[in-house]
Amino acid sequence: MYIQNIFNPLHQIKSYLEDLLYNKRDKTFTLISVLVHILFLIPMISFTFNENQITDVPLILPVEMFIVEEKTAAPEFEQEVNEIIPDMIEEVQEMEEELVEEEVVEEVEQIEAKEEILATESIEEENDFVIDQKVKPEEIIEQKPEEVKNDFEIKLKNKPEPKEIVEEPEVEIVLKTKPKKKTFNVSKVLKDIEQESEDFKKEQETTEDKQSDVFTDEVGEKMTISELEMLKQQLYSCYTVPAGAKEFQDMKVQVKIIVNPDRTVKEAIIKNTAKMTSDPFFRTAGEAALRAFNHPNCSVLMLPEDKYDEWNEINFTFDFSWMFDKV
Amino acid sequence: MKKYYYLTILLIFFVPSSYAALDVTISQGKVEPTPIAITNFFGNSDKTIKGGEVLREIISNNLTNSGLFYTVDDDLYIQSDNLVDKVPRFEDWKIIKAQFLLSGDIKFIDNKYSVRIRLYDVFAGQEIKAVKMSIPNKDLLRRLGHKISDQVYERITGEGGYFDTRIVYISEVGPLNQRVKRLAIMDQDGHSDSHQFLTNGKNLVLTPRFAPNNQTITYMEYENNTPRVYIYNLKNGVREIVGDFPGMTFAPRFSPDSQKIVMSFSDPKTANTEIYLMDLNTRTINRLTNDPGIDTSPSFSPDGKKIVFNSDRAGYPQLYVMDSNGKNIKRISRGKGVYGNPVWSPRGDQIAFTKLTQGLFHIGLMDTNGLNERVVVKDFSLESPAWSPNGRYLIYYRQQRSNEDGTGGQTSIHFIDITGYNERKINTPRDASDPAWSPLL
Repeated sequence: MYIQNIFNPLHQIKSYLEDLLYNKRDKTFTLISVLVHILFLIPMISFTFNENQITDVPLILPVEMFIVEEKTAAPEFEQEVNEIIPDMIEEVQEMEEELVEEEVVEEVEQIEAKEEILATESIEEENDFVIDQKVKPEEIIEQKPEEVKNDFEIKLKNKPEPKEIVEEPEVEIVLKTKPKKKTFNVSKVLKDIEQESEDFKKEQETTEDKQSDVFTDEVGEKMTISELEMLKQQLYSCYTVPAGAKEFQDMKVQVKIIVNPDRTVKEAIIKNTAKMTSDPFFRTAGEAALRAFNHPNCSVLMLPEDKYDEWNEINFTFDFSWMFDKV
Repeated sequence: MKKYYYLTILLIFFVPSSYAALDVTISQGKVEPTPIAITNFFGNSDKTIKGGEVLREIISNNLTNSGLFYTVDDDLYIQSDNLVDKVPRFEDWKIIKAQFLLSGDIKFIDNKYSVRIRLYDVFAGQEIKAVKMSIPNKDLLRRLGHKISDQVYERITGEGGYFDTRIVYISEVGPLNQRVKRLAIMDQDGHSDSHQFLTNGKNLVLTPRFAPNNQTITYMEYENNTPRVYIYNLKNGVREIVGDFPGMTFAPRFSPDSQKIVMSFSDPKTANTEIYLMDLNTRTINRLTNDPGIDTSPSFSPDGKKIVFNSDRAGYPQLYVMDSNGKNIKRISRGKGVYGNPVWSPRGDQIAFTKLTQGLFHIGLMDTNGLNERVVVKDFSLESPAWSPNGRYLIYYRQQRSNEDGTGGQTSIHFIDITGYNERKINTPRDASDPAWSPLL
């Protein structure tokens, strides 16, 4: 029985585990040593087997990287926007000033008429410490400039029509093309090389076209990161953070704005309407957010004019949890 | 049927993508004061014109000192009319970038001064507040100015004001080894007209603290080297001894209902400092802690259910929270350094404390469970943080380094908001320490 047990591997493992349970240190060290060796051996073996695959790759990769960077239309577009936007703002401001001047005369006459009426409404009739009477809102003062017709357009250079791209496998084909092993013949080998290089050039050209199509297509239709960033930066300068307000770190004010084609804000609405009436702290944060869209510096938003479908309606979330990061 | 099926699938995949609104997250903004224009407070006589000037100055200073506003220079104002009875030309105020406009007038009618104000949101082009107040004599003009400031602050920020409040503190004079310390009081803005001494300086006074809901203070006074705890009613000037406490006694503080005081003192037999609760009506004392470590600086939560205190029971001073009956003690501070002077915010959401680490004192804030600890200000020596009644500001005192010849070591009271962005010194006629903030008057 004893001999049977000695040669039985299950019994061996069982007794070994029992030894471990009783903290026999020498065996534990042996086990650790074996595990460490295995840990080293596995990666070494895997590296050895993968070696061939790695050597196949570098022929293609560097060429693709170079082409994509050179041909993308995005940088050119950014420059254009940067050049045009300041001019655009100046022009819009000039037009607004002209409009204001024209309307001032009429407005003053109307205001004076209203002032007389208001002056007769005596606040003294009311109780001490409370005045409920409010000055009636002045309708005339809302001066919405007429729709500004811009003399310019933002156009992308070489904006191609969107194309369907299904030919991804072709790129893979390039990677997979390998010269087949043939009997050694110098003239054939040279021909093969020439043919291969021509094929490769053609393949590169087609890949290049497709890549540029992909990038210009996206830039043309959707707001780019830099365009969104520009809009955010503009609003940062118009929004005054009510720092230190109670539970401000947990308040996320959501504002939906509807934008006119001339990039002025048509309407700004707080989405969390219930909280605006019930929570005075939230009302403060909400009013501060709305003031950002009424701020003179944000009266015309920095948006790419040819992407009106993208930004005619924008949902803003004002989130200031960053102010309460741990120090 | 199949047609509808395909149509539905098409709608699901294509319609939302073509009509989805753009989502933008704004996570930054200007942390800077909001511009407010304050017109002249128009008067109908010499008396009222001068009173109007005083009011405008008080309101402007208050709002500016809060760190949330700055007053637009009146040289820039295009419209100079009394806008209480008139609709402002908002475009004129937009041009000078005023976000809010405050206008007021003052009249002397029926032996009282009557003030009307109107507050406008310039960018929205609408009135947001209108108030009328009156005072029987001009001595109350300063208070009236503070009251109006509170109204404006409350409407714009959404939280209670703090301008019509006072600060009690220890006024100090003389070299460091012979300091004369007197109890003093002033308006929160530290205006020189508002300063008053409450004790004569004969005895050493320490740690004044306001009751949370009335104008009563408690403080310690050493008479013949015996520490006594006093209660001082500022309305009627009555001073009352709460008791003599032999041995070391520390920082009495009121409970939220102002009916009890919590403090720490050492038992002369065991020399061990524990926290005690005294009922001011029955004068009975209950011990709340019982530990070989030193337990000090207790402070009630605004709901009266919890007490935060300081103890070295873990080997070095840390902050602990317990129920108001002394049970369920839990350590809340976890960082490195020596913690002390915990004070529960009137909002109930944070605890202010001091911390000594790396050779510097820090005044910091943490949630009531000890999480989200952050430093508001640090310097050579900072002590005694106290909250404003709206829980948005802290006052504390700062001490300069002292020299071997006994010079230096000047103390001054400072004000800071809880974001740490706006700090300023409150002017006092002499050195000042150990400030405490009153509730609204």
